[in-house]
Amino acid sequence: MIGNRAVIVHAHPNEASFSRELRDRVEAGLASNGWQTDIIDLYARLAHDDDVTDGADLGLVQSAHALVFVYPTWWWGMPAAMKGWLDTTLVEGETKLAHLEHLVGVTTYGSRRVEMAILGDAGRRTIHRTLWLSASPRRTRRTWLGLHRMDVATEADRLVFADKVHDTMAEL
Amino acid sequence: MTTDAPAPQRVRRVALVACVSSDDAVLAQARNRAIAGFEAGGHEVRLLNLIADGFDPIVNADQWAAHAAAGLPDGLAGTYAETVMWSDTLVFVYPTIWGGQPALLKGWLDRVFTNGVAYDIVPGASRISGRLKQIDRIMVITTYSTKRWRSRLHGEPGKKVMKRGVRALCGLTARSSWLALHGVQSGRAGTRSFAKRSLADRSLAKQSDWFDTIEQTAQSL
Repeated sequence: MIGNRAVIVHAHPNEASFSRELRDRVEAGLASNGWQTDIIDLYARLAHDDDVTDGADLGLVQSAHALVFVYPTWWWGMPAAMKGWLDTTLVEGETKLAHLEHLVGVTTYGSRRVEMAILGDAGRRTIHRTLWLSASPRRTRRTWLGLHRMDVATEADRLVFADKVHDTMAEL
Repeated sequence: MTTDAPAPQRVRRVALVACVSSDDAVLAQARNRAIAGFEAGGHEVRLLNLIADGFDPIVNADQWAAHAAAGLPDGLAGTYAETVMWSDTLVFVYPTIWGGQPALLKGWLDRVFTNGVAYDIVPGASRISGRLKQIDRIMVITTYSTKRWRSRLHGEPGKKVMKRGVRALCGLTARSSWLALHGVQSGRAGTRSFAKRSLADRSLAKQSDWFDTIEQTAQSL
Protein backbone atom coordinates (compact mmCIF):
# COMPACT_ATOMS: atom_id res chain seq x y z
CA MET A 1 0.00 0.00 0.00
CA ILE A 2 3.01 2.27 -0.27
CA GLY A 3 2.05 5.66 -1.67
CA ASN A 4 -1.67 5.16 -1.26
CA ARG A 5 -3.67 8.06 0.08
CA ALA A 6 -6.37 7.93 2.73
CA VAL A 7 -8.71 10.67 3.89
CA ILE A 8 -10.12 10.47 7.42
CA VAL A 9 -13.24 12.56 8.09
CA HIS A 10 -13.91 13.06 11.79
CA ALA A 11 -16.62 14.86 13.77
CA HIS A 12 -16.74 14.95 17.56
CA PRO A 13 -17.13 18.05 19.76
CA ASN A 14 -14.81 16.82 22.52
CA GLU A 15 -11.07 16.69 21.76
CA ALA A 16 -10.53 14.13 24.52
CA SER A 17 -13.33 11.79 23.43
CA PHE A 18 -13.09 8.08 22.69
CA SER A 19 -14.04 8.97 19.14
CA ARG A 20 -10.85 11.06 18.92
CA GLU A 21 -8.89 8.06 20.17
CA LEU A 22 -10.46 5.93 17.46
CA ARG A 23 -9.48 8.48 14.84
CA ASP A 24 -5.88 8.38 16.12
CA ARG A 25 -5.90 4.58 15.96
CA VAL A 26 -7.23 4.68 12.39
CA GLU A 27 -4.45 7.07 11.45
CA ALA A 28 -1.76 5.02 13.17
CA GLY A 29 -3.01 1.76 11.67
CA LEU A 30 -3.02 3.16 8.17
CA ALA A 31 0.39 4.81 8.61
CA SER A 32 1.90 1.56 9.85
CA ASN A 33 1.11 0.05 6.49
CA GLY A 34 2.55 2.95 4.49
CA TRP A 35 -0.65 4.90 3.85
CA GLN A 36 -0.38 8.63 3.52
CA THR A 37 -3.23 10.17 5.51
CA ASP A 38 -5.08 13.47 5.46
CA ILE A 39 -7.47 14.35 8.26
CA ILE A 40 -10.55 16.48 7.89
CA ASP A 41 -11.36 17.43 11.49
CA LEU A 42 -14.75 19.11 11.21
CA TYR A 43 -15.03 20.38 14.79
CA ALA A 44 -11.49 21.81 14.72
CA ARG A 45 -12.54 23.75 11.65
CA LEU A 46 -15.65 25.05 13.39
CA ALA A 47 -13.59 26.14 16.39
CA HIS A 48 -11.06 28.02 14.30
CA ASP A 49 -13.53 29.37 11.80
CA ASP A 50 -11.40 27.82 9.08
CA ASP A 51 -12.32 28.86 5.62
CA VAL A 52 -11.67 25.91 3.40
CA THR A 53 -11.24 26.76 -0.22
CA ASP A 54 -14.13 25.54 -2.30
CA GLY A 55 -13.23 22.29 -3.93
CA ALA A 56 -10.16 21.60 -1.78
CA ASP A 57 -11.88 18.80 0.14
CA LEU A 58 -13.44 17.47 -3.02
CA GLY A 59 -10.02 17.26 -4.67
CA LEU A 60 -8.62 15.48 -1.63
CA VAL A 61 -11.45 12.95 -1.53
CA GLN A 62 -11.43 12.37 -5.27
CA SER A 63 -7.75 11.48 -5.25
CA ALA A 64 -8.10 9.19 -2.20
CA HIS A 65 -7.80 5.40 -2.29
CA ALA A 66 -9.47 5.09 1.10
CA LEU A 67 -12.14 7.23 2.73
CA VAL A 68 -12.74 6.70 6.45
CA PHE A 69 -15.59 8.26 8.42
CA VAL A 70 -15.13 8.38 12.20
CA TYR A 71 -18.08 9.67 14.23
CA PRO A 72 -20.36 9.00 17.19
CA THR A 73 -23.82 7.79 16.14
CA TRP A 74 -26.41 10.26 17.41
CA TRP A 75 -30.07 9.56 16.70
CA TRP A 76 -29.32 6.78 14.23
CA GLY A 77 -26.83 8.74 12.16
CA MET A 78 -23.86 11.00 11.82
CA PRO A 79 -23.64 14.37 13.62
CA ALA A 80 -24.94 17.38 11.69
CA ALA A 81 -21.38 18.63 11.26
CA MET A 82 -20.53 15.54 9.22
CA LYS A 83 -23.83 15.40 7.33
CA GLY A 84 -23.30 19.04 6.39
CA TRP A 85 -19.82 18.28 5.11
CA LEU A 86 -21.17 15.44 2.99
CA ASP A 87 -24.06 17.59 1.71
CA THR A 88 -21.85 20.45 0.59
CA THR A 89 -18.70 18.61 -0.55
CA LEU A 90 -20.15 15.80 -2.65
CA VAL A 91 -23.17 15.85 -4.95
CA GLU A 92 -25.32 12.72 -5.11
CA GLY A 93 -25.46 11.30 -8.62
CA GLU A 94 -22.69 13.60 -9.87
CA THR A 95 -19.53 13.22 -7.78
CA LYS A 96 -17.48 10.14 -8.66
CA LEU A 97 -14.64 8.89 -6.50
CA ALA A 98 -12.74 7.12 -9.25
CA HIS A 99 -9.72 5.98 -7.19
CA LEU A 100 -11.60 4.76 -4.14
CA GLU A 101 -10.73 1.21 -3.07
CA HIS A 102 -11.93 1.29 0.53
CA LEU A 103 -14.95 2.95 2.12
CA VAL A 104 -14.78 2.63 5.90
CA GLY A 105 -16.96 3.68 8.83
CA VAL A 106 -15.85 3.66 12.48
CA THR A 107 -18.55 4.60 14.96
CA THR A 108 -19.92 4.19 18.47
CA TYR A 109 -23.55 3.47 19.30
CA GLY A 110 -25.56 3.88 22.48
CA SER A 111 -27.91 1.10 21.48
CA ARG A 112 -27.51 -2.61 21.09
CA ARG A 113 -26.62 -4.15 17.76
CA VAL A 114 -30.07 -5.70 17.30
CA GLU A 115 -31.86 -2.42 18.07
CA MET A 116 -29.72 -0.52 15.60
CA ALA A 117 -30.41 -3.19 12.98
CA ILE A 118 -34.16 -2.85 13.52
CA LEU A 119 -34.01 0.93 13.40
CA GLY A 120 -32.12 0.77 10.12
CA ASP A 121 -28.74 2.30 11.06
CA ALA A 122 -29.21 5.37 8.88
CA GLY A 123 -25.60 6.48 9.29
CA ARG A 124 -24.20 3.22 7.97
CA ARG A 125 -26.80 3.17 5.22
CA THR A 126 -25.81 6.66 4.12
CA ILE A 127 -22.14 5.74 3.78
CA HIS A 128 -22.27 2.09 2.83
CA ARG A 129 -25.21 2.19 0.50
CA THR A 130 -26.14 5.66 -0.71
CA LEU A 131 -22.60 7.02 -1.03
CA TRP A 132 -21.16 3.67 -2.14
CA LEU A 133 -23.69 3.07 -4.89
CA SER A 134 -23.71 6.68 -6.03
CA ALA A 135 -20.05 7.65 -5.99
CA SER A 136 -17.61 4.79 -5.76
CA PRO A 137 -16.36 2.53 -8.51
CA ARG A 138 -17.28 -1.12 -8.64
CA ARG A 139 -14.13 -2.35 -6.96
CA THR A 140 -14.58 -0.31 -3.75
CA ARG A 141 -14.65 -2.55 -0.68
CA ARG A 142 -16.63 -1.64 2.42
CA THR A 143 -15.59 -2.04 6.03
CA TRP A 144 -17.72 -1.16 9.07
CA LEU A 145 -16.53 -1.10 12.67
CA GLY A 146 -19.03 -0.25 15.39
CA LEU A 147 -18.87 -0.36 19.17
CA HIS A 148 -22.36 -0.91 20.56
CA ARG A 149 -23.71 0.01 24.00
CA MET A 150 -21.06 2.68 24.33
CA ASP A 151 -22.59 4.02 27.56
CA VAL A 152 -21.95 0.83 29.49
CA ALA A 153 -18.77 -0.24 27.70
CA THR A 154 -15.94 -0.92 30.12
CA GLU A 155 -12.37 0.27 29.68
CA ALA A 156 -11.54 -3.24 28.50
CA ASP A 157 -14.35 -3.22 25.90
CA ARG A 158 -13.05 0.05 24.52
CA LEU A 159 -9.49 -1.18 24.41
CA VAL A 160 -10.47 -4.32 22.52
CA PHE A 161 -12.46 -2.26 20.03
CA ALA A 162 -9.71 0.33 19.55
CA ASP A 163 -7.19 -2.47 18.91
CA LYS A 164 -9.55 -4.02 16.41
CA VAL A 165 -9.83 -0.68 14.63
CA HIS A 166 -6.06 -0.32 14.52
CA ASP A 167 -5.48 -3.85 13.25
CA THR A 168 -8.19 -3.62 10.62
CA MET A 169 -6.74 -0.37 9.32
CA ALA A 170 -3.22 -1.82 9.34
CA GLU A 171 -4.40 -4.66 7.11
CA LEU A 172 -6.59 -2.60 4.81
CA MET B 1 -80.89 8.75 6.13
CA THR B 2 -78.02 10.91 4.97
CA THR B 3 -76.37 13.65 6.88
CA ASP B 4 -74.51 16.65 5.51
CA ALA B 5 -72.68 17.48 8.70
CA PRO B 6 -69.05 16.36 8.63
CA ALA B 7 -67.95 13.89 11.26
CA PRO B 8 -66.65 15.70 14.33
CA GLN B 9 -62.90 15.90 13.99
CA ARG B 10 -60.29 16.16 16.64
CA VAL B 11 -58.35 19.41 16.67
CA ARG B 12 -54.69 18.58 16.26
CA ARG B 13 -51.73 20.44 17.68
CA VAL B 14 -49.26 20.47 14.83
CA ALA B 15 -45.54 21.22 15.12
CA LEU B 16 -44.40 21.83 11.54
CA VAL B 17 -40.62 21.62 11.24
CA ALA B 18 -39.62 23.30 7.98
CA CYS B 19 -36.20 23.16 6.42
CA VAL B 20 -36.96 25.09 3.25
CA SER B 21 -34.51 27.48 1.63
CA SER B 22 -35.80 30.66 0.02
CA ASP B 23 -34.88 29.50 -3.50
CA ASP B 24 -36.77 26.20 -3.25
CA ALA B 25 -40.13 27.11 -4.77
CA VAL B 26 -41.44 23.55 -4.93
CA LEU B 27 -40.86 22.80 -1.27
CA ALA B 28 -42.07 26.26 -0.20
CA GLN B 29 -45.34 25.62 -1.98
CA ALA B 30 -45.60 22.17 -0.41
CA ARG B 31 -45.14 23.73 3.04
CA ASN B 32 -47.76 26.40 2.32
CA ARG B 33 -50.27 23.86 1.07
CA ALA B 34 -49.74 21.79 4.20
CA ILE B 35 -50.38 24.83 6.39
CA ALA B 36 -53.45 25.70 4.35
CA GLY B 37 -54.74 22.16 4.79
CA PHE B 38 -54.23 22.15 8.53
CA GLU B 39 -55.97 25.50 8.88
CA ALA B 40 -58.88 24.37 6.72
CA GLY B 41 -59.24 21.33 8.95
CA GLY B 42 -59.37 23.57 12.03
CA HIS B 43 -56.03 22.33 13.38
CA GLU B 44 -53.62 24.50 15.31
CA VAL B 45 -50.21 24.87 13.62
CA ARG B 46 -46.94 26.13 15.00
CA LEU B 47 -44.23 26.64 12.41
CA LEU B 48 -40.62 25.90 13.29
CA ASN B 49 -38.82 27.66 10.48
CA LEU B 50 -35.24 26.45 10.91
CA ILE B 51 -33.62 28.55 8.19
CA ALA B 52 -35.44 31.81 8.90
CA ASP B 53 -34.88 31.36 12.65
CA GLY B 54 -31.15 30.94 12.07
CA PHE B 55 -31.06 27.65 13.98
CA ASP B 56 -27.55 26.34 14.71
CA PRO B 57 -27.50 22.57 14.10
CA ILE B 58 -24.06 21.96 15.58
CA VAL B 59 -23.82 20.32 19.01
CA ASN B 60 -20.95 22.14 20.73
CA ALA B 61 -18.58 20.79 23.38
CA ASP B 62 -20.59 22.20 26.31
CA GLN B 63 -23.87 20.83 25.00
CA TRP B 64 -22.24 17.48 24.38
CA ALA B 65 -20.84 17.38 27.92
CA ALA B 66 -24.33 18.11 29.31
CA HIS B 67 -26.20 15.64 27.10
CA ALA B 68 -26.86 13.11 29.85
CA ALA B 69 -28.42 15.70 32.16
CA ALA B 70 -32.20 15.95 31.94
CA GLY B 71 -33.85 19.22 31.06
CA LEU B 72 -34.74 21.63 28.32
CA PRO B 73 -31.92 22.71 26.03
CA ASP B 74 -30.95 26.39 26.07
CA GLY B 75 -32.15 29.09 23.71
CA LEU B 76 -33.94 28.40 20.46
CA ALA B 77 -33.52 24.63 20.82
CA GLY B 78 -35.42 24.89 24.11
CA THR B 79 -38.25 26.83 22.49
CA TYR B 80 -38.42 24.17 19.79
CA ALA B 81 -38.42 21.43 22.43
CA GLU B 82 -41.41 23.04 24.18
CA THR B 83 -43.30 23.13 20.90
CA VAL B 84 -42.56 19.45 20.32
CA MET B 85 -43.81 18.60 23.82
CA TRP B 86 -46.96 20.63 23.20
CA SER B 87 -47.73 18.94 19.88
CA ASP B 88 -49.54 15.73 19.07
CA THR B 89 -48.59 15.82 15.39
CA LEU B 90 -45.08 16.21 13.99
CA VAL B 91 -44.66 17.39 10.41
CA PHE B 92 -41.31 17.61 8.64
CA VAL B 93 -40.72 19.46 5.37
CA TYR B 94 -37.24 19.14 3.85
CA PRO B 95 -35.27 18.28 0.72
CA THR B 96 -33.69 14.81 0.86
CA ILE B 97 -29.92 15.05 0.39
CA TRP B 98 -27.70 11.96 0.25
CA GLY B 99 -30.76 9.86 1.03
CA GLY B 100 -31.60 11.66 4.24
CA GLN B 101 -32.29 14.78 6.22
CA PRO B 102 -30.19 17.85 5.46
CA ALA B 103 -27.61 18.70 8.13
CA LEU B 104 -29.84 21.45 9.53
CA LEU B 105 -32.60 18.95 10.30
CA LYS B 106 -30.22 16.26 11.55
CA GLY B 107 -28.82 18.85 13.94
CA TRP B 108 -32.35 19.77 14.98
CA LEU B 109 -32.82 16.18 16.15
CA ASP B 110 -29.40 16.20 17.85
CA ARG B 111 -30.08 19.42 19.75
CA VAL B 112 -33.83 19.30 20.44
CA PHE B 113 -34.37 15.59 21.19
CA THR B 114 -32.63 15.73 24.54
CA ASN B 115 -32.99 13.77 27.74
CA GLY B 116 -36.23 14.81 29.40
CA VAL B 117 -37.68 16.05 26.11
CA ALA B 118 -37.67 13.13 23.67
CA TYR B 119 -36.56 10.34 25.98
CA ASP B 120 -35.88 9.20 29.52
CA ILE B 121 -33.02 7.01 30.61
CA VAL B 122 -34.42 3.79 32.07
CA PRO B 123 -32.78 3.41 35.49
CA GLY B 124 -30.33 0.54 35.68
CA ALA B 125 -31.07 -0.74 32.20
CA SER B 126 -28.75 1.40 30.05
CA ARG B 127 -31.42 2.10 27.53
CA ILE B 128 -33.80 4.90 26.76
CA SER B 129 -37.57 5.03 26.55
CA GLY B 130 -39.41 7.42 24.26
CA ARG B 131 -41.04 10.42 25.86
CA LEU B 132 -43.09 11.72 22.94
CA LYS B 133 -46.04 9.47 23.76
CA GLN B 134 -48.62 12.19 23.07
CA ILE B 135 -47.53 12.31 19.42
CA ASP B 136 -49.59 9.85 17.42
CA ARG B 137 -49.04 11.16 13.93
CA ILE B 138 -45.93 11.94 11.88
CA MET B 139 -46.09 13.44 8.42
CA VAL B 140 -43.07 13.81 6.17
CA ILE B 141 -43.07 16.01 3.09
CA THR B 142 -39.85 15.69 1.14
CA THR B 143 -38.36 16.05 -2.33
CA TYR B 144 -35.74 13.82 -3.92
CA SER B 145 -33.49 14.64 -6.86
CA THR B 146 -33.32 10.90 -7.53
CA LYS B 147 -35.96 8.66 -9.03
CA ARG B 148 -37.99 6.48 -6.68
CA TRP B 149 -36.33 3.19 -7.72
CA ARG B 150 -32.87 4.63 -7.15
CA SER B 151 -33.78 5.97 -3.69
CA ARG B 152 -35.03 2.52 -2.75
CA LEU B 153 -31.87 0.89 -4.03
CA HIS B 154 -29.83 3.39 -2.05
CA GLY B 155 -31.46 2.26 1.17
CA GLU B 156 -33.57 5.30 2.15
CA PRO B 157 -31.61 6.21 5.32
CA GLY B 158 -33.77 9.30 5.87
CA LYS B 159 -36.97 7.28 5.71
CA LYS B 160 -35.58 4.86 8.30
CA VAL B 161 -34.80 7.80 10.62
CA MET B 162 -38.38 9.07 10.45
CA LYS B 163 -40.53 5.95 10.14
CA ARG B 164 -38.54 3.76 12.49
CA GLY B 165 -36.39 6.03 14.66
CA VAL B 166 -38.54 9.07 15.44
CA ARG B 167 -41.71 6.97 15.42
CA ALA B 168 -40.27 4.62 18.05
CA LEU B 169 -40.04 7.60 20.45
CA CYS B 170 -43.71 8.43 19.92
CA GLY B 171 -46.88 6.69 21.02
CA LEU B 172 -47.25 2.98 20.25
CA THR B 173 -50.11 3.66 17.86
CA ALA B 174 -48.34 6.50 16.06
CA ARG B 175 -48.88 6.39 12.33
CA SER B 176 -46.87 8.13 9.68
CA SER B 177 -47.65 9.63 6.28
CA TRP B 178 -44.81 9.69 3.77
CA LEU B 179 -45.41 12.26 1.03
CA ALA B 180 -42.41 12.28 -1.27
CA LEU B 181 -41.87 13.78 -4.69
CA HIS B 182 -39.09 12.16 -6.70
CA GLY B 183 -37.01 13.35 -9.62
CA VAL B 184 -37.25 17.03 -8.68
CA GLN B 185 -34.78 18.97 -10.78
CA SER B 186 -34.74 22.58 -9.79
CA GLY B 187 -33.90 25.16 -12.44
CA ARG B 188 -34.49 22.98 -15.50
CA ALA B 189 -37.55 24.68 -16.91
CA GLY B 190 -36.18 25.42 -20.38
CA THR B 191 -36.87 22.25 -22.30
CA ARG B 192 -36.27 21.90 -26.00
CA SER B 193 -37.46 18.73 -27.66
CA PHE B 194 -41.05 17.56 -27.78
CA ALA B 195 -40.16 14.43 -25.82
CA LYS B 196 -38.55 16.47 -23.09
CA ARG B 197 -41.46 18.90 -23.05
CA SER B 198 -44.00 16.16 -22.63
CA LEU B 199 -41.89 14.66 -19.84
CA ALA B 200 -41.79 18.06 -18.16
CA ASP B 201 -45.58 18.35 -18.48
CA ARG B 202 -45.95 14.97 -16.86
CA SER B 203 -43.71 15.90 -13.98
CA LEU B 204 -45.60 19.17 -13.52
CA ALA B 205 -48.86 17.23 -13.34
CA LYS B 206 -47.27 14.88 -10.83
CA GLN B 207 -46.12 17.85 -8.79
CA SER B 208 -49.56 19.40 -8.82
CA ASP B 209 -51.10 16.10 -7.66
CA TRP B 210 -48.53 15.97 -4.90
CA PHE B 211 -49.47 19.46 -3.65
CA ASP B 212 -53.16 18.45 -3.64
CA THR B 213 -52.42 15.26 -1.71
CA ILE B 214 -50.46 17.23 0.88
CA GLU B 215 -53.30 19.68 1.45
CA GLN B 216 -55.93 16.94 1.60
CA THR B 217 -53.87 14.82 3.97
CA ALA B 218 -53.23 17.79 6.24
CA GLN B 219 -56.88 18.79 6.28
CA SER B 220 -58.24 15.33 7.05
CA LEU B 221 -55.57 14.37 9.56
